[in-house]
Amino acid sequence: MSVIELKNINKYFGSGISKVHVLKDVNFAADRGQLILVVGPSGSGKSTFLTIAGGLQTPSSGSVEVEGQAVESLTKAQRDQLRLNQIGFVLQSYNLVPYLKVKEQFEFVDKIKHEGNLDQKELADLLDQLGISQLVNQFPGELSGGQTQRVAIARALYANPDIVLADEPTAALDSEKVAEVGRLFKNLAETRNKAVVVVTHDLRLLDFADKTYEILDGKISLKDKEHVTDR
Amino acid sequence: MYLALKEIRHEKLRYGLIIAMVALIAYLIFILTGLAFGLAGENTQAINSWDAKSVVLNKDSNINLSQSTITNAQAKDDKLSDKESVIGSTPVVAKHKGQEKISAQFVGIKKSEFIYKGLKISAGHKARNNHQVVVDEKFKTDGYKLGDKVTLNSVSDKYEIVGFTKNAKLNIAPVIYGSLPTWKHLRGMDRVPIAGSAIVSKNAKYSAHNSQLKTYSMNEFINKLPGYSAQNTTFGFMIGFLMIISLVIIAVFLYILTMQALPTYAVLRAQGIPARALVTTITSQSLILMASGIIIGGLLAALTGSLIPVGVPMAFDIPVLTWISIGLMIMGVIGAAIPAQKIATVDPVSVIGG
Repeated sequence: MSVIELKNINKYFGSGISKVHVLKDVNFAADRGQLILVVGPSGSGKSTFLTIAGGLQTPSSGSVEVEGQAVESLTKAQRDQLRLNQIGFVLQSYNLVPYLKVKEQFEFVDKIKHEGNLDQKELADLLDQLGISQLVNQFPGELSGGQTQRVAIARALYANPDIVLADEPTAALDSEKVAEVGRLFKNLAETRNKAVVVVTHDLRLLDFADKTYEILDGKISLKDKEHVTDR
Repeated sequence: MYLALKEIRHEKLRYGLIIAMVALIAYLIFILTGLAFGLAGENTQAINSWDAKSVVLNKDSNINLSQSTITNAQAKDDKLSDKESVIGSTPVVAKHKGQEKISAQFVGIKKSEFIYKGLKISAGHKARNNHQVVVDEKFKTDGYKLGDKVTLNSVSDKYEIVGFTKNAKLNIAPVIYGSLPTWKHLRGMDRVPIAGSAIVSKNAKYSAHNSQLKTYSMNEFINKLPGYSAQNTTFGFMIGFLMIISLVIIAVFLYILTMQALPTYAVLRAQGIPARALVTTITSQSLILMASGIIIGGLLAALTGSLIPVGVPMAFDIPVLTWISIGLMIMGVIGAAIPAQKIATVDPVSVIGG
């Protein structure tokens, strides 16, 4: 069974003459251990796809299932719990609290979610794997862009979610760094058995993906990497 | 609470400035409250020391001690028990060679009645004849000594200070306790058949028997002391306005800080951090800022109280100051309400994509 599945998702914004059909009959599935790219140009509906997949928005029609549970049937508080327990977000804005040291970013998760987080050894292993063990006493403002991003990934994984949703994680990175991020996500998906879904317009990540979906004008399709449109 | 403390520790200057503002407002409120109570106390110290519950005045006196006279005939109608005292009160200026003149309130009392009997002497002894007086300790701080012979107003007679008493002020003026005949002499009414200005009673239900006299509760009497209500109302308004100013300051600062941090809160909401936890953070932050400001303001007020000259009437009433502090904390919680509402309704979608 797929860990996350979107079935016949449609999403409209506005009404009347200004009504826009942003997502059109979107079907999508992600399995554990896979790095899945969702690519598409700006305005194609990628962000709307991500917010619906992450339970931040409800679709106009269709269904989102996480581990077989229909997200639209959950209350707001239950969707908060779903995101806290089962979905790790890596956002463009890096999802770090600016006034918490790196180690405190994880302490804060412990204050909110008391069970199911990585233990100290698992956290140490994760930080080693990401190469940021030496940064635990730094504030986000003292880190480079690449370091910040890796800390953000560690933060997303600390609550031990089944799914990692990443929003444009390679924005403003050079090719070398893009390859590093690609390898890192693929490695995390395989070694930690997570479903990693990366929404991006950066086609340099194609080589690392197990599956690639393309969104164009709100329609999603599974593509071979050779057939993804370069725009 | 965790985020609240961490942010304050990280942004020391920013939050330090807010705490400084709150501390200054709390300090001002504490000092004003101290002055309000100090002045109110100096209006009523003597009355409080009598522990009287009611007062009988001439009904045409407009509840003003200085305007009231009770004739011997009127006083005779009232059967006085050991819970009643006749007093004669008049403003005087006390003079002694080489000393500053002091504006005071002369209160004539009878040896046989409870005010005289209950008078607590801090130095010397009680007045034993018409030419002896007991005075408030303000005289002592102004350089007067036991044995000094003072003149009162332009009366040529001299009155010897034979005792000092603490906390004896009436309408801010220090009290000179003497005899009722002396009071009559000072008013130039030696041969007029008047008994005094008022009858004070420890009995709250004491009722005047003569139709020309009227009984008032001590609270009613105190509230009618010249300037007393106006002064207390003015202080009350000042303190109230400062409370509102503290509310506006904390609300504006927290609102600005929250708006700046809204993207961070949106990210946290996207990550599934419950809105309640974030609202608790902003409320805790407000309470920490208010509590810190109140403590610093309180310490500064205590320091001021210890350094301020004796002549400045300041009295810190701890229960009242505690209530004011609680009021300020409530202002802090109210001030956090608007930022808390912003956080509770932040749209996490706003941080996804672009």
